[in-house]
Amino acid sequence: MNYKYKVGCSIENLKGVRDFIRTSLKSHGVPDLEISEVVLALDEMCSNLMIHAHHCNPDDLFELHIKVENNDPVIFEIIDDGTVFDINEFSEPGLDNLIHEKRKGGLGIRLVKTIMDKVEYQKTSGKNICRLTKTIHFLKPKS
Amino acid sequence: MNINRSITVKYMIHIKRLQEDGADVIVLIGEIDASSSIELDLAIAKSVGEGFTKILVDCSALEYISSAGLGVFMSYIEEFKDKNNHGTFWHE
Repeated sequence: MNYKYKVGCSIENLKGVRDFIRTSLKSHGVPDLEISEVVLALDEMCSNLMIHAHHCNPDDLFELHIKVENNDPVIFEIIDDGTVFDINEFSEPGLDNLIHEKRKGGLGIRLVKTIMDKVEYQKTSGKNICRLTKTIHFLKPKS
Repeated sequence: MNINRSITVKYMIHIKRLQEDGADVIVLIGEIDASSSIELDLAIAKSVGEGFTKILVDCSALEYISSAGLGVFMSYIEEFKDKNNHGTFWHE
């Protein structure tokens, strides 16, 4: 099944993004722990996009698509037209450096890479698609 | 398709402060993300500014925290070490 959500780039909208993901996955037998993991990873990706690519402009919109089919990896797509920031090309700082330098960035990318199986980027007719894939251990339907 | 253009959620985190045996207890209720982490930063800065050397953060009712919130805690670690302050977090 496919789910779509369109939202403005204001960081106050992140809660709406998280609720959309939770609601979409809940009825498909995705365990709560794995829902929490992907919610965190997508929140990190969306907040990065809102802040760095769109400077929190609420009039800039992006789309989040979720494709969930039982026993297949779940695919999340973030579609926008801003500047692409490829997290695969970013080497995240060590935790000691984060503390020492009082840096508030870099931790989110580490979390996304840990949680997701794959993060891919594609550009199609002026739109950027960031595709995140996650293998889920679906709960068996109650008989 | 769901379209959310407006700012819909303003109060996703509620922060309470109370004092117990000379320690400042910061109680977090709700969710902390890139938006609400600013309020967490302000609460800790206020506690440090008021001279508390023992700060307890009650996360029992904290339902969600992203890297922005964790980054706030991490940004105080060095300052706490320098001042010999103590910060403790708990989650029941």
